[in-house]
Amino acid sequence: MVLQILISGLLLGGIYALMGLGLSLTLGVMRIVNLAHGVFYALGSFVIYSFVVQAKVNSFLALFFTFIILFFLGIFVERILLKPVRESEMNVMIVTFALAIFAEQCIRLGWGVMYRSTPPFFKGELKIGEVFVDYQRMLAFGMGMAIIFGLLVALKKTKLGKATRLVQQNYEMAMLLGVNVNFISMVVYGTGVALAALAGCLLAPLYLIFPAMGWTPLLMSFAIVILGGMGSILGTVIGGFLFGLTTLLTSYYISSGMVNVVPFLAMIVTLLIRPGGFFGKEIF
Amino acid sequence: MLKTKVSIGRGRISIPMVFAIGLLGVMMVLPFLVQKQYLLHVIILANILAVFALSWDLLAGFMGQLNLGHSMFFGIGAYTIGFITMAYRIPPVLGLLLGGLISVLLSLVVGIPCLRLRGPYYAIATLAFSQVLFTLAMGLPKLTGSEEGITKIPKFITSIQGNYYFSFFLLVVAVIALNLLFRSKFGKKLISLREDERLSEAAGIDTSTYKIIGAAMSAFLAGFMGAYNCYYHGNVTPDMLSISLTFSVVAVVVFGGVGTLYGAIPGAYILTFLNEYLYFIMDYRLLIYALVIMLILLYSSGGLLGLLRERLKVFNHGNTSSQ
Repeated sequence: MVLQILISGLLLGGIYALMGLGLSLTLGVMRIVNLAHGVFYALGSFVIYSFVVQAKVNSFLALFFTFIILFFLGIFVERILLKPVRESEMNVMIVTFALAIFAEQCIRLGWGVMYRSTPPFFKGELKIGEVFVDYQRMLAFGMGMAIIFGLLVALKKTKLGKATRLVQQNYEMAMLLGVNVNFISMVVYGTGVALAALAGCLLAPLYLIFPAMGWTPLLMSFAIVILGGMGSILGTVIGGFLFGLTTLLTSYYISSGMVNVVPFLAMIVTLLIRPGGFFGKEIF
Repeated sequence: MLKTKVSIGRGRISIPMVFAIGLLGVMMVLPFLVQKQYLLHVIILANILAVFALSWDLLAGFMGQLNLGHSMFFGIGAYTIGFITMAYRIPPVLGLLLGGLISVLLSLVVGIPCLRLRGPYYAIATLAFSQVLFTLAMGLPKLTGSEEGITKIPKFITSIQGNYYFSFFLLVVAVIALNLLFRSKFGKKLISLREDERLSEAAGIDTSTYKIIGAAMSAFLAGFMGAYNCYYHGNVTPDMLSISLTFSVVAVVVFGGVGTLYGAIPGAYILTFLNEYLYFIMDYRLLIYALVIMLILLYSSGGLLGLLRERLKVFNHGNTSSQ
């Protein structure tokens, strides 16, 4: 049983890392504290639900569509809502908080308050000895890892990625060198939103989906980012795995309702011991 | 928006002050004029929300520290009363103070690790902690009664008129206390945190301690009101710990004007009256609040009071720049 929990936890951790990375990107590059990150996770789940269950689209195609839709939604939000208030950190937080509530209410009105679930991309499970791993978890993990890897490569190798890292390191310098900061800000926020939505899509078949589902992943992502150290990819990934494990351990040994306590404790302990996070300042 | 100067009276009686005192006078005789108990009930709710919102504004508007889990201070005050009255009979005044004190303890638990740091940590930690408490309130049915909450708490003022006057008493005391606070040297130091934290630290202000003390004061006020709210309704439910309550308070203050002190009062009245009299917007309530908050922050940063200041200039006594 312990082995089962460990494996499931690690697989879940991959998705948490994906979400944490999205948050880390918007926080690290644009200094935007995105409290709506969780609601985009929820939105991802609901949009793929509509595609798969209501429109009967192939799961992978639906995943792709959801990614694109949410990416552009993110860009739209950045243009309309965040750009005008970016100067003040507090206003950004209030606006994204309001946006989170707004989107949650929209989901509530659009899809209703019922608990739903989507069919898995692949049915069935793999049996290794005593351990059962369903294909959906493995797929989610694999895709999560692939996307994280792809993103890292893009940040290191492409021109846009290099510009993004420059913006993160020195905003004024980037502007001086003619980097289109507004464009980068737009793309980064869109990517962050799309990553959250992707996590929502990949986990939708494993958990029930409901309008308020985004808050726990939101706090989890913040805890991951704080624990791992802002702007550290390694820290984010390790944090993701750690939280995947602790989430499953808590829900198995204590109660699934207590999962909320984990991110909070982790945050407080990290802020008390090492406010900068445990994995230094490696810049993307 | 947050640079809005605090224009608390300069020791002379201004037009708005006369207006406010007149309005208060009308409110004092209102129970003799109208027989509708429901109206009085709604006004009591508005007063409670107003004081609670003032406590949020104390932290966000004056000290620049955003609290996104403010409902937990309110809720913990209420649950304190709920737990105590199950076991003991205590004098209500003690109960109210105790609600505030437990709330202060809670604020120290969150504040000491997070307020030492600059950045979004306090906002995130308060949001996380309020979620923890909400989960606990829902998840421990034997202790907290889960969704039903704790009911049948003895009221300490039974008549609605009594509660009406008491709630006004609390509102007036809170406004006067905050007024005195921000005129004092201590309060000026708190405000300096919002204006420029690094600068005030350089000027020799122990910023972390001041932030922690300020947060504790805000928590005391919120816990006290939570306790009173619990006495007034005679029950406690997890709703008093929910994100939507926090959000309502944010809406009240943003709507009234962040950092204006008085803005929270009209904000609270408008929101409560909308809530209680327009049943059909019930489902869209949070949606509308969220939309209004976003619009206000995008277009008119000062909220209702900021708008009044710009238009009438009467609130502007002495302040050359209102923004």
